[in-house]
Amino acid sequence: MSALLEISGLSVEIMTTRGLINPVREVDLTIEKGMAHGLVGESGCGKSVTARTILGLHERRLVRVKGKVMFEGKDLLSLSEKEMEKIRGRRIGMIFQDPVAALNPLFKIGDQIAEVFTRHFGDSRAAAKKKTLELLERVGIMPAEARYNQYPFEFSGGMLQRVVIAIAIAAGPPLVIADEPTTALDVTIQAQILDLLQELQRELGLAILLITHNFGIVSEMCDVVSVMYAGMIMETGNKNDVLLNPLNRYSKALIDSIPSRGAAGQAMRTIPGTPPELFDHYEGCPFAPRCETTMGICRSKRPQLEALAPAYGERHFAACHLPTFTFEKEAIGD
Amino acid sequence: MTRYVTGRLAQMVIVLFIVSLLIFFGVRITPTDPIASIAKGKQMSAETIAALKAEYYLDRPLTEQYAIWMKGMILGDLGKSYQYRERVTVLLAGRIGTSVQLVFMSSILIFLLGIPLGIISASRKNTMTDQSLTIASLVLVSSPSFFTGMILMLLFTLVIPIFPTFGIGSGFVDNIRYLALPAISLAAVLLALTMRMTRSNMVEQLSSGYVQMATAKGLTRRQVVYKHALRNSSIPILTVSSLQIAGMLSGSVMVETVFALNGIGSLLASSVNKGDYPVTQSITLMMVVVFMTFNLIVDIMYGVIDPRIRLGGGRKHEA
Repeated sequence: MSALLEISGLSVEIMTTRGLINPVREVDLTIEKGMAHGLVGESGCGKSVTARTILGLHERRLVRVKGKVMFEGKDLLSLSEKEMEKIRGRRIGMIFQDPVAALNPLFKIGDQIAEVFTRHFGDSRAAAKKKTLELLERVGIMPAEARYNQYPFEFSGGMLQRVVIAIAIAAGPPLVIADEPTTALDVTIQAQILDLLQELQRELGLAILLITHNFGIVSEMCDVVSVMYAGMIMETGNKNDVLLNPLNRYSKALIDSIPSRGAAGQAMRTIPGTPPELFDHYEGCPFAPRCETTMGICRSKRPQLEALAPAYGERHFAACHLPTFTFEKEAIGD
Repeated sequence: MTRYVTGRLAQMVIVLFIVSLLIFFGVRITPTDPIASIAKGKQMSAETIAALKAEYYLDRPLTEQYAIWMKGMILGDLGKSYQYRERVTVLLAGRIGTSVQLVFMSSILIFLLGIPLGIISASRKNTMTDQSLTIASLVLVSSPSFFTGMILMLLFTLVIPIFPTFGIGSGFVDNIRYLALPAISLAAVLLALTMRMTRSNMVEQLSSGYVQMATAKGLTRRQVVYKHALRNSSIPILTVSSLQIAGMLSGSVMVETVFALNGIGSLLASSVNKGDYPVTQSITLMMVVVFMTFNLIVDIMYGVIDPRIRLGGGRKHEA
């Protein structure tokens, strides 16, 4: 296995009208070739900002980025806007949360896909159209010829998301970033879209960075999962290792709060409190104020990602001073 | 589409009828004496006055005067000017060229400067370029056209005398040189407004989802701004700028007076002063027609630009 995308020490600061925020703090993340990597966390934990930073979609003037994003031998953070334009859509595709907003209401569906071919391969209009028709059929939009000439308002949300997926994979990129690709869709449609994504992933050998707040989607789609909280990666590892044996206290609380069918009638488990504000500066673990078991060190020293328990999976790393397998009484007495 | 346009034309006829009543009676409420305008200060006998009144139908009841005006309008006869004692059609024919050229030159300034500067301002939001353009547009918006006109006249007569400051010149190229200053003063406020409006619209479009998607596809910044965002901003930009151009006809009254141009605007100004009913009525109604025609063209353009309007799409979503 070799790394396709390797993020190390990534910090992002954004100038907003309310002040400087710090949504991503020293993130390390590795995506292997052909693997689906789930990035999970609550709203506002920095998942989307991380994704947008990879593609350089932030307005450069307002953002300060530190760290490295190595992709195909290049540090994306050091590339110029012109060089990034050649990577976006060509080497890294992007699927957005709301397909209705993501498509231009005034352009034909087909032309919006064909644009990728004309832009990145210099195809003629006719050649681009031919490729687009094939792609439309591949993502299940039929009859392709008739649908090509329609406009976004004539499509349902699910169909539009298929169009967005088509745009993301059109140029045959090795990596696709999907930012909550089913959140804006009806529940019945979500499964279809996920199935399509999974099929395409296997067929094309795509690596996917799947951003979601839904562990159900992770367990269905992903090979690897990383849990993010307040701009920090709390835990990362193979899906089963993390889901079955979460080491970090936050990951565990998050997984415990997934409603399960067997638990019908029982009160749903929640994590008390809210995530810290993005403006806040803190030492120590960002989850400490909400954690059930904290020690003095949790509030003073930031935990680093470490292979805490090799028994619970190779390549399973967590950032926690007091991992879940530790004897709890001992800790409380601290 | 044909049905839509026919419907709109029928609507225009009704509106024109109502407006013509307003104009007709509005003109007659003003405290001016048409006979004095015809007499140009000369003493006249009661018989002469009676004869003149008869010649201009001023002795008839108002309703009949209105009917005569309407009938003439339909037959292409706009009546006879009191002050020039000439047919209004002839009078207008001699002057309309100047006004049309003036408005045309100002429109070009608005389209070629106002819109592009607005786009540049938006795509470089909050930079020095944007802020300088914002300040410049605020200065322009807050100086009325007659003031801009006078400042330009002073500047170009005393400091750098390259443009003539009054008159129209002869020949097309000469016209352009003569009309440059009037066109700039007529366009200034509207240019600044168009620029501000274009900027705010483009800023909104540039922060929308499809612009992000277009960027994520790898399109160049130029393609994103000019192909995607501009197309979506074009409806409001078109609406406002075309109405401004239509409104410039009335704006030309001030500018033509300041620069002593023999156009429609200055003719309207003097007709109102002298109580020259036929001329005042005709020009005012003509401005209304121009305004409505521009409106209709813009509404048709909506359909051309936006498929949701053209195809009568059910689901409308914010772009």
